[in-house]
This record gives sequence, C-alpha cells and structure tokens, in this order.
Amino acid sequence: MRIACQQEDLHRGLSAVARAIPTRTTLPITQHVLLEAEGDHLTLSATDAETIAITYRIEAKVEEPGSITLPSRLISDFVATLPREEITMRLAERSRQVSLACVRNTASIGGMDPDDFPPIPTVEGSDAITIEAPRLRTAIAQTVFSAATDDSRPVLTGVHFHFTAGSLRLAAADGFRLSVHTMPIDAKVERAVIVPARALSELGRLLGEAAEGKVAVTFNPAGTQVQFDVGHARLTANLIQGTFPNYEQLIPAQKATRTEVSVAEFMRETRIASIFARDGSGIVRIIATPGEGSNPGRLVITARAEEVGNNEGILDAVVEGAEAKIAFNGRYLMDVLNVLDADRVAIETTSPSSPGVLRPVGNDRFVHVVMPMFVQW
Amino acid sequence: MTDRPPIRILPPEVAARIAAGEVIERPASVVKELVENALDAGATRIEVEIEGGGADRIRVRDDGHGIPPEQVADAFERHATSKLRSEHDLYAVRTLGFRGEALAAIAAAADVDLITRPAAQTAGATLHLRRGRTERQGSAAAAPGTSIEVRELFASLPARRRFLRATRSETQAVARVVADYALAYPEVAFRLTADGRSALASPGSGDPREAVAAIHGAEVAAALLPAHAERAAPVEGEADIARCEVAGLVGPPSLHRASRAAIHVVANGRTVTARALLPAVELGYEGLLPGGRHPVALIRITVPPDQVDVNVHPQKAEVRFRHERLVFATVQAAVRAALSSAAHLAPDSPDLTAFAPSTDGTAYAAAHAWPGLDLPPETPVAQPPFEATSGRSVIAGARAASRTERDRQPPADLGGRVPVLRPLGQVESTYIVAESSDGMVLVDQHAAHERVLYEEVRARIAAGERPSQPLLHSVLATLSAPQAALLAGGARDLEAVGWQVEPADGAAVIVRAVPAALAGRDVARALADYLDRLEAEERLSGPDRAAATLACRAAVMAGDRLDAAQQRALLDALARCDTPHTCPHGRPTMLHLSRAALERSFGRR
Amino acid sequence: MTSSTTEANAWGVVGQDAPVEVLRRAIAGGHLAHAYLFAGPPGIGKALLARRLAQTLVAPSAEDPTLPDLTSRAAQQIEGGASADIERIAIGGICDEASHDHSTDRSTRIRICQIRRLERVASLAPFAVSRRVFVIDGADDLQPEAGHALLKTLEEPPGDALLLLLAADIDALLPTIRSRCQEMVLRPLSHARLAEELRAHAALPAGEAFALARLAHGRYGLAMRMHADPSLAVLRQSATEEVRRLARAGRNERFDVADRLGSAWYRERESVLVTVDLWRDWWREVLLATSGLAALPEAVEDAAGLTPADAVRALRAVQTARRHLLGNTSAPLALEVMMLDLPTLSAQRGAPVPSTAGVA
Repeated sequence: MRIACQQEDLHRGLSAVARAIPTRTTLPITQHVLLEAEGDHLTLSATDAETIAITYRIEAKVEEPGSITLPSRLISDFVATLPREEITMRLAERSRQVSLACVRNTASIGGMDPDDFPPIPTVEGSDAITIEAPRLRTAIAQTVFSAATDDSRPVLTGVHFHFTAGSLRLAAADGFRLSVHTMPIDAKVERAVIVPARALSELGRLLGEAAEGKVAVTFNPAGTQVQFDVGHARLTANLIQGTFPNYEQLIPAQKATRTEVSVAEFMRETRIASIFARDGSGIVRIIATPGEGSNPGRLVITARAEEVGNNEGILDAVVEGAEAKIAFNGRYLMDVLNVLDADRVAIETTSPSSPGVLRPVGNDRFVHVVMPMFVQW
Repeated sequence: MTDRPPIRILPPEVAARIAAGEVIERPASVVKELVENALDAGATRIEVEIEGGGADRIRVRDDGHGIPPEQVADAFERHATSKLRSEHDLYAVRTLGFRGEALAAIAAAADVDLITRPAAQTAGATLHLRRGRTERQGSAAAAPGTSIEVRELFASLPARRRFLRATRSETQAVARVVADYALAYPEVAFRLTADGRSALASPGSGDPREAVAAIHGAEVAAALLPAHAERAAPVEGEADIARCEVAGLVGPPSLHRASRAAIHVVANGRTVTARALLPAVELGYEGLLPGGRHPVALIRITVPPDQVDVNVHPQKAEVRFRHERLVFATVQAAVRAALSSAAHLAPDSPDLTAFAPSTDGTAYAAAHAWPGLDLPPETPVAQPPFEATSGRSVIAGARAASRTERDRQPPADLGGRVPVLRPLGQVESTYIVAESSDGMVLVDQHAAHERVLYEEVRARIAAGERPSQPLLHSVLATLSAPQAALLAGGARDLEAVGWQVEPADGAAVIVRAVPAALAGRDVARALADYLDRLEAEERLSGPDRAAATLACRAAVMAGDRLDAAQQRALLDALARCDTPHTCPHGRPTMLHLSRAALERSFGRR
Repeated sequence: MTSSTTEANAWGVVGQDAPVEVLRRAIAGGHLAHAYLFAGPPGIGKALLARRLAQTLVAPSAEDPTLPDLTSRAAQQIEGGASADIERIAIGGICDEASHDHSTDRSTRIRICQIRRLERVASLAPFAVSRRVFVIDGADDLQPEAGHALLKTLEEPPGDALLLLLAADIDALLPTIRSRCQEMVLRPLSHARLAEELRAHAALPAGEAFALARLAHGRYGLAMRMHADPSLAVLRQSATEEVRRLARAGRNERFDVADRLGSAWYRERESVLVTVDLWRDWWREVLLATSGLAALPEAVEDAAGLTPADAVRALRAVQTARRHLLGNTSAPLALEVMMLDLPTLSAQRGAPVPSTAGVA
C-alpha cells in the first residue's frame, strides 16, 4: 500500500470512525482502524464488533492499493499534531509497518493483519430509503434522550423506527417518559425495527456534519442490520431483536388544562428552579392559572431547597381549562425543552398524578409524555 | 493473707537472673513501682499525688495490708522482695513488683517517707530515708495501709534531673501510668491529683467500661464493644496445653486515633506495651480504619502464669508469651468477633477522630500520618501558635481568622461542619483532591455523596415529604425470597423514601414508583439492588435504614468520573451537612493533610 | 488439529463420539437447541466441543454442513479466540461497568455484571455470521445472582443466540439453569482406549501412553496437556510424594502442611486446588488398589494396610475439604479438618517415600 492524502481529510475521517471503537472488548483488534486504499480513495473503518461500524471515505492518490489495520489512538493522535499538508503512507507488507510522512514529520506505526479485522457488514441494495438529513437529525435528537441507558429490557435501550406508507415514526421510552417523532418520507415501505440508541447518537454526530444532504437507509436481507449512508460516512448498526412495547396507549387522549408558554422563558425558569432543586430529587413545581378578565394567564414555577432557599419564577401563559398543579423532575423537563424545534410549547395536563404531555406549538411532529412526580402541595 | 511470704533477700543467683538496668528513669517510673507495690498489698483504693510533674513530690497512698513493723527496714534493701523465693518462681510470676530493686532504687534517688500499718497492728511504723540511708525510724498513728512519699527525685543526681522534661510532659507520663493501671484494675479505685488538681478518678467498680470512661470520657466508653475469645491448643512435646483468654473492650471502626496510644494491653493484670500484639489488634480492624489511623481498645489477656515471661525488660513493660501465636490469634479473633457483631453504632456519633486523650503524652507518634480533618495542631504542648501567612492561597488568607478560631475550639466540638473546599481534581475517579483553609483534603466521593443524600432524604422524611417518581407504565420485577421478605418487612419505610411497590404473583412485584433519586435507572434492577443493599445495612433501622440505603444506591460510585462543576457541587453540599466527616456507615468522608504536616513532610520545618 | 477428524470422530473431539454425533444430527435436522450444557471434568473436551460446534455453524465445510471447514479464516479466528461473534464468559472477563476490572479485582466467580453484558450483546443481531455464540466457561462458577440473571436469557434467548455452558460440577448449577439447557455429559475413556488414542495422536510408546492415560483419568485433553507441559508432571509427582508422606506423618507435620497450603490459598488458589485434586486422585488410586483393582504400583503398596473403607474415608475427607475451600471456609481450618480424617499409615510399611518420613 502506498498513498498520499490531505492531513485534514485523514484527521476528519479518523475522528469520525474512532467513535465506533469500544472502551472495552474481548477483541484487541477492535482498538484498530482498518485502512483500505483502492482506486482514488482511502476507506477508514472501525467497529466494536457488537453494535456499530463506521466507515469513512476520503480522497487519496493511491499509488499502490492495499490494506492494513493501525491502532486508532496512536494514529489519530499523531495525525492530529501534523500540519495541514499532504501525508504520505507506505506499508511494508512483511513487517506490517506503516511509514507516515508529512512535511518534516515522520512516524512508523505497526499494524495487524487486515484479514483478522472483524468483517464490516455492508448492505448493497437498490431499495434504499432516502431521508432529509436535517429532518432525521431532529427526529433523533428528539427521541434518543428518552431511551433507557440501563438495560434489563434491552429493547428500551433502542429507538423504535416504524416506516409506514409515506411516514417514519421514531419512538423511545424509558419507563418514566416517552418521545415520539413522526416525519413524512417519500418511500412506501412497511417495516419496524429497533436501532440501538448508541448508534443513533453517533449517527446524529455524523449528520451534524452534513447540514443539507440526504441519508440513505438500507436494511440487510435478514433484517438484522441497518445502514445509514451520509456523504462520505457510512454507519452500520446491529438492530436490537425483540418487540418494542405498544406505546400509543401511553399518550393521554384527554387533557384538563392546556398551557402555552415561550420555550426560551420556560427553559430559563426551569433551569433556575433546577439549580434550587439540586438535591437528587430535582422537583420543579408548576402552577398554571388561566387568565381572568384583564389579567393574563400565568405559569408559576417553584423549587424548594432546605439550605439554599426557595425560588419562584412567573411566566405569561395562555392557559385553557382549569387551574393545574403538577410537579416534574427538573432534569426531565430540561431534556425535552432542549430539543424542541419551536418557539412555544404546549403543556397538557389532566391531574397532578397523570402524565403530562409537551408538544411544540406550530407543528405536530413531536409529542413527549412525562410522568409527574409525587409531591405534597 | 496470713500465709503471705515475708520480705526476703533474694539469693544472688536469682538476683543475677533478673535483667539489669535502670529502674527509675523518671517520676512515672516511681509511680509505677509504688502503684504496683500497692496493688500487691491488696489495695482497693490507690491515691497518687504529684507536684511539679512528680520531680518535686510524689505520694502514693493505699489501703492495702501494710508492712509489718519488723520488716520495714528490710523493705528498702536491694533485692528485697516478698514475692520470689526461688529461681523457679521467676517463671510463675503472679504478683507485680517482684523485683527487690524497686524501693531501694527509689530510696537511692530521693528522700523517702514511709508510713505503714497492717490492719492487725494498732500503730503504724514510720521510716525516713535520705539518699538511701535510714535517718529516722519510729511509730505513729496511721490509717491501715501504706503511704510512701518521695521528694526531690534525683536531687542527688543533677545530671538525671536535667533530663527530666517539662513538668507538663512528666505529668502526662504519670497520668498515662495511672490510667494504664486503672484500666488493668477496674476493681481498684484510682485517683490522681497533680499540683492540687484532680486529673483522674476511676470508680473502682470493677467495670472496665467505667474505668475507660474515667480516662477517655463517657462518650468513648459508651461506644466500645465487648470483645471476648478463648483458645487452647496442645503444645508439641509437652503435656501442657497452651491457653489464652482475651476479654476487653474495643472501639467501633468509626473511632480512631492518630497514634497507638489508645490501645491498652493488659496481660495477666499487668499493663504492658505488647508491641508484638499491637498488630493483632490492628489486624482485627483490617480494612475498617482509614490508613494511618489506629483504634481505641482495651485488651485484657489471661494466660497461665507459666506461659508468660515478664522478665524481658527492666521496667517490666514488655512481656513475652511462650505461645505468642496462640495469643496473637486469640486477640485477633476477639477483636474481629466484637466488630462483626457490632450493630449499635449511633448513626450520628460525633466525629471522634479529633479527640485527643488528655493522658496521651506520646506527642503523637504518628505525626506524619494524615490526621482526620480538623485535628488540632499536632501536639497540644509544644506547637507555636498558628500563624496565618498571607499569600499562600486566596482561601487560606481569607479564612485564616476563622481557622484560628476553630483551633481554639475544644476537641469535642470538632465534629462540626467543614468549610467549603476548593476542588482541584479527581484521583482514580474516586477521590476529590481539594484545597482547604489549611493544606489539602482528599474526599471520598461516594462516602461524601452518601452523607449529603442521607441528610437530604432524612430531612425530607422528617418534613413528611416523599419525593417519588411514578412510572409511566408499571414494571413487573421478580425478587428473590430474601428480597421479598425485606420488602414485606419494611414496606412502610420503603414508601417513606419513595418506593411504591405492590405484590403480584409469587415472587413478582409491581413497581409503580421509585424514589426520585433513582429515577432514570432500570426499575427492576434498581429495586433488587436496593433490597440487597438494605439487607446489608444492618446497623440502622426504620426510616434511617431505608434512607441510608437510598443514599448509598443513589450516590456517585467510586470510579465515576466527575467534572469540575460536579466536584464543586458535591463539596458545597458536603459543607452544608450537619455531620460531614463520616458517611452514614461511619466511614470517614475525608482525609486531611494539614499545612503543618505538608511542611514537615517536605522538611520546611 | 486436522489429522484427527477421520479416525477419532468427525470433529476430532477425541473420546466424545456420542455428543459429537448428537450435535451433528441436530445441525443436519435443523433442530439445534438454543442452549447446551456440556458437563464433565477438566480436560475432557468441553471447550473443544463448544469450539467445534461454533466453527461448524460459522464455517461449515462445503461438502458436509455438519463438519467445520477448519481451514477457513472464520474457523481459525474462532480457534485463536479472536472471533467477533463468539464470546467467552469466564472468571475475570469483561463487563459493561466502567469502574469494574475483573482481570485485576481477584474475582472468584462469574459476576452478575458479566451476565448483564451477555444479555445486552445477545439482544443485538450477530455482526458478521448467522448466529452469536456465547460460551460460559465455568458455569459452575456463576455467582448465584449471576445465575438468576442468566435464567431469563436462557429461557427466551434473543434472536438466534446460542448459549453453551461448560461445567465440571453440574451439581453446583441452579436446577433452573439445568432444566433450561440440553445437558450433555462428557465421559472419560477407558484407560486402554485413551492409551491407544495417545499412541495414535501423540506417538507415545505404549508404556508411557498407558501411564499417562491413567494419570489423566481417561481424559484426552488432560493427557495431552500433561504430555505437552512437563511442569504438570512435576507437580503431580511432588503432590503424590506429599500425600504419601502425609499418610505417614504425625499430626504436627500434617498441620504444618495444612497451614502452608491454607495460607497459600488466598494467593494461589489455582495451584492449591490442583494439589488438592491430585491428592484426591491419589486416594482414588488407593481405593482402587484396596478393592483389588488395577492401580498405580505405589498406590498398591500404600493400600496394603488399608481397607476400602479407609480409602473411602480419605477420599471423602479430601472432597469435603475441597468443597469447603470453594465455599469460602477458612482455608487452613478446612485443610486441618481434612488432615484429621486422613488415615495414618505406619512409616515402616510400604516402600520408602522420598524426603522426611521415609525411614524404612
């Protein structure tokens, strides 16, 4: 293998694929990056041989094709220190030593047999589903945080993808809250899969890079893997096997009070209240009072902390229905407010002990259901 | 008492076998000899008075059987003893002051006045010696017992007198001796008066705990756990059986000191510095005490008299056990047994790490160990007053005034709050390194967070709140039999901390709500983990037990990485705690390396 | 590894023809169970059987899908323990807890967090092949909670995951685990048969092959390991000398040995266990000899003054001590108790034993 490429490209590629490298593993070679040079490009791949694989293609002048694996940490650290110039790489086949040179910097890094690298599954198919990258990014952001991090029910550590004619619905739940995002798509497929949240977090990062573009989603014939192609990057994820719980029934059908406030103001007051409620339980109390006559409706947000004192914030609000009192975990509120893609949010409540529903005002793509906390009023 | 052997001159071969050496080193040695004589005389009350650290005057008065008039003169002869009759007896020492040198040596070094009256006699005998020579002998009216007054110790030996330390330090040494005997002989009432002030008074009730109370204070005494073990083993090649019985009182692991001075070992009634046995005591605490800290313990060892050799050291403070391994094992077993059965440690017992025994004259042998936070400057004796030097650190400067204030507080108040600490970083993802107003502090993040959460949860329970996070959909959890039993037994306390669990079929339960602090975790696993932890939390009961368990489960773990803001938040919260020095299980939350200790370690002073 | 496939059995798991055939038939018929329990003493072929099964599933030979293609890359990766889709769970293995490091924390059991990891990985589709295979090596070493946690995965394994449990002591397993696995007991070969195999595979002279077969209790794997590792032979030799000496020693010497081994237990568990196992083997030989069956010549000598009941008592004492050791009883105590129960041979009887007590 003998190639030349730009430091910038290689650095970007290595950083992208390094996200797939596991922190602990039974397979030492998964700490390596696979480099494959062919045609006019160099393909970088990394995998945890478990959940995800990421490959990234960069342009390269390939004088002699070939492949090798190199320890990810070592080569990433080295390349990061190099100037933005051309890097040349040359592999000594027998010793599996790669010589890297960039301006006056040179290094020699020992690799392993590329044939021992876990095979990176690739799915070739014409039936790819195409999704707008920014849309998918928003959908991921609005759901992935609701997935469980702990995993006695592994299906809950993933996000449910439900493709139906013309739409895709993403859902995640961790027992305390539920996020559902629905978006229109062009394809007409019927399919439901569970994608590991970890893979989606990484995909979100890759999508962040492709501000415009499109994402091609492909499944392998066995239906056990999904592949996302985004520009130069490709992320392949193993699907979680199992049945996702029926979440539709968790979305309350009725409401006694609907309170509409500014997201920015609600966030600011919740953040302040959360600071005061910083004691593990993080209780933030909300009282919504409808307007009367010339008095506008308002939302009062309070938190108590034994040592620090109390806090009370008041927001203007459009309140429909009866007065409502409800308490939430401040962290849960912040999590959802952070990902709303609207200026105003509607909070729908029924009673202090029934789930609260948050929806962005102006689009019906997203709905979040969160369980209130039990408190004494 | 009538068949007591009279005082005899030891045959030279016996005297020769006795280790030679200085007997009288300092006033404390005199007190020791006189107290032992008093104990041998069957005293039930022993009063010790000293002036000028004992160098000016020592008087020991007892209510023992006294010395018959015809033997009074012999009492101060060298190698006169009523206790040993032959070489064989050396190996079966049942009494304490068997060596005849004692009184003779004292008489040689000071002026001595003796008044003694056996209860059967009507009048007492008096004897006045000056520099070892009898000046006057006579009789006088006296209470039954013996009173010996020693004045101007080393007056004839100016070189020795110069070596005596400050009065205060000699007083402490005497106090230590009297304290040791008071612990070894709880049935004897001891009183020590130094320069007219009462320094120690044990009741002589026979209860070792009361003796400890007289020395270390009632709080420490109440915290001690009874320890007992008995062992016997055949001895190779001998008909004899090696035996050992250990009884005593040992402190819970939450009670620890910077030096070994609070480990008292009594062998066959003789208080000893059994260096070889200290590890046995400390091994019993293995893993329970912070590094460099030492327990509080009173260990009373009983072995057959022929299995102990007290003749190792001229001052008789060291003993040698014939079957040391057996004794070692018995001591360790007794300590372990006491600690493992310990269940009654008060959750909020004040931090005793800073409690320095007033009788401790060893000037903190472990000066280089890391004392607990807020330990006053190493020795109460010789340290110059603390000087706040500006420019060392912002915090140090700002808090210098409050620090000196704190230093003046009596030790018992030192379990109080800690100042806000400035986090510097994390070690091993387990300890937070922080700067305090005096040097640096290492905080165990888990223990500290446990303390913070524990106090919060208890405050909430007290306020009738029940921070609980209900579930969006209930979860079915399968429990083991012990877990289910715990759940059934403590249902009310579990609800108080926020659990809402209902029985379902068999071993399954339905979880409807979790404590707010556990929200976000896997519900079934959190419940099982919680119940397992609850089972281990044997020391507490009721809501406190439920609260401590919650604190433990919800706290950050050792190995969790914390960012700077999290470290700061934890230290701030710790500073708000009522009892910040220990976690709910009594383990320390922090170790302190004072500026003084740093400076000493780096040879800056 | 390839030469044996024809004569011994199709997979080259010498001596385990029956299990191999059962598994091959299951593969051929498409009714492979989702969980197997391979039971048998160390060195009998459990791990090899598991490996061959995995290799056959991952890399079947072109001619016969019930045979592994051992020349394929995938099969060789499995052979070398470097396959992405086969995970071995054993004491000291990895888990998902960031703060755990079982390779250095002196784990003596398979921990619950390791089983939780298994559960998580098992819920994922296999990465490169058709099924994920998990080998729980030492299922009898599962922490009780870990065993309970495993039940759920055993009951409804996600996807096509295949669980292979290896255990020397199946009685140590939860009955609920056993009932969820298809159990296969791997049995030792007759000494004569093993000697034959050893002559064929290791080219050993007849006498040596027979002695080795005997020492290895008919276990092919153990015999080959002993053949390859002379230090095992030395250990065996010295352990045998020690057990014979102890049989003639007084209480003090016995207690000294108990003390020494007992304190070594906390540092070198493995070698103490091996020693105790060797003692057990020895007493088993003596039992054979007392019953008039063929046994090692030294055992026959020692058996001269003993009844089968004596030997059984000794055997039981060693077994009990072993169980106590593994049950976390104080090691010196467990060994001392064993010493008290060992029969005492007079030093004069039998051939001189090397070292101390050998005054004939």
